[in-house]
Amino acid sequence: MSDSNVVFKIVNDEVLVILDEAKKFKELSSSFLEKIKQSESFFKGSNISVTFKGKVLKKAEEEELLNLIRASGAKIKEVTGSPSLQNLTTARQNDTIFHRGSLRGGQAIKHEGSVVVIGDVNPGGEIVATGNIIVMGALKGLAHAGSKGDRDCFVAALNLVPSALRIADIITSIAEEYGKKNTKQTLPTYAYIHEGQIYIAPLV
Amino acid sequence: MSEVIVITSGKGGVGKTTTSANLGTGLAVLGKKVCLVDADIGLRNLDVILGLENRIVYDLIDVIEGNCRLKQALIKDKRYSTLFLLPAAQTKDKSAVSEEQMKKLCTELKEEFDFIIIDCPAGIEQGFKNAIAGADRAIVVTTPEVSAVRDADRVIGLLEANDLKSPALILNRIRIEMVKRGDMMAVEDVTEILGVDIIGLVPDDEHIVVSSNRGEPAVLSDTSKAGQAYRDITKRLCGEEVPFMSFEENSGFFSKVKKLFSSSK
Repeated sequence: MSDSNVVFKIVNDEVLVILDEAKKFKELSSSFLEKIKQSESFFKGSNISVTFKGKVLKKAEEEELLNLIRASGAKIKEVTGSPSLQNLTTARQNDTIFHRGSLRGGQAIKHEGSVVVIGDVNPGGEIVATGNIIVMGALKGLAHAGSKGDRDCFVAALNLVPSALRIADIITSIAEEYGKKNTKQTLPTYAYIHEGQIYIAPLV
Repeated sequence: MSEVIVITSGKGGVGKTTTSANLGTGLAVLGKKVCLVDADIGLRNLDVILGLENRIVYDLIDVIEGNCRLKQALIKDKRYSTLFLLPAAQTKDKSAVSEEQMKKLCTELKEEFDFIIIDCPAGIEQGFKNAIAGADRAIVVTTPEVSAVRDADRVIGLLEANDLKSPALILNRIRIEMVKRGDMMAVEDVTEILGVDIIGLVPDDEHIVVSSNRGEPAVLSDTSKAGQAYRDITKRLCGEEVPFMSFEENSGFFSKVKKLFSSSK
């Protein structure tokens, strides 16, 4: 059963390590070592950055795990992710709520987790979610994804022209940038954070 | 079957009172027993627009406080014997009435009348809550302005939260030449945002100012375009299917000739 104690997610040279919060460090470190052995070929000679998520580690414990990686022949470029961010993985994995119908001015959804709206979010409507936000309609109100600081969250909408858009701690106003001229664009788009800035890209 | 209809908007000055007066009068013309209730306590206007201000003896607050019987407070219209007004008090404010009292009043009125039309005050505070408390159905009035549409959106949300589902919309003061120039929101722009059914499109009409000042609702005038629009709405309220009127200006000689031919077909 040690398999789910530790999960590795590897993208290019970035390794995301998700540690089961309910387990003791000792159990985790042995599973961790097992995982490294399984992907020995990846670690050998590589230069990686490591992010820990899930269980909050003490500095010495973190160092112990990093040493296990180093022992496998990999170099560690950097260790990212602050302890406060690590708790968020679980929050994001919490349930998603669905709202049928439009969210009108003055109506608000606040949720621990992700929010899906089947309808529009009109000016003056607000969605604040610790996870992702998806609007199957026009998003003209305020959306705040990753409200507890998770910069990995995104906001997607069929028509993305929010009066204010926030992901984690970053704020932008799309309506002011180009929405005024272009409020009728219906291309499905999503907003995400890349290098500390909010980017908007088409969904298809 | 009688129905309590609240006329509301959120924003002030979009034509709630004018709409109430015209729809009430229009329904009376069709032979319905109508009671207009002015819920704008402290800032009453409906009596003025109907030209009945000099006849007020008792008001809504007197009825609720038991100073008079309901029938004593009802003012019969000068022109139509089936139209009555329950005026608001001018010396009190919105806190003088509770939602429960309004509900009770509406139930009492329903026994007597076919239509009870409540003129809601602007805003979303106690006065609004009182006005919608006893209503079976709501009509939201808005103008093609961003601020009015925003407020209408907010109000529709509040109405839905109070079990007044799918309110009908009256878009008031449309100026077709401005819409054509792109200077004013078109009907489609408004419905796209609000997502509710339209029950009436009322053109901007100078006649409304004149008729308000005279205390003669425009719905009684054959020459007023807004009056025609209100007549159509009253028919729709009675369940008739009426097409929306054309907003084209038929001022030129040529179009008059054209109209003559097309109507004779």
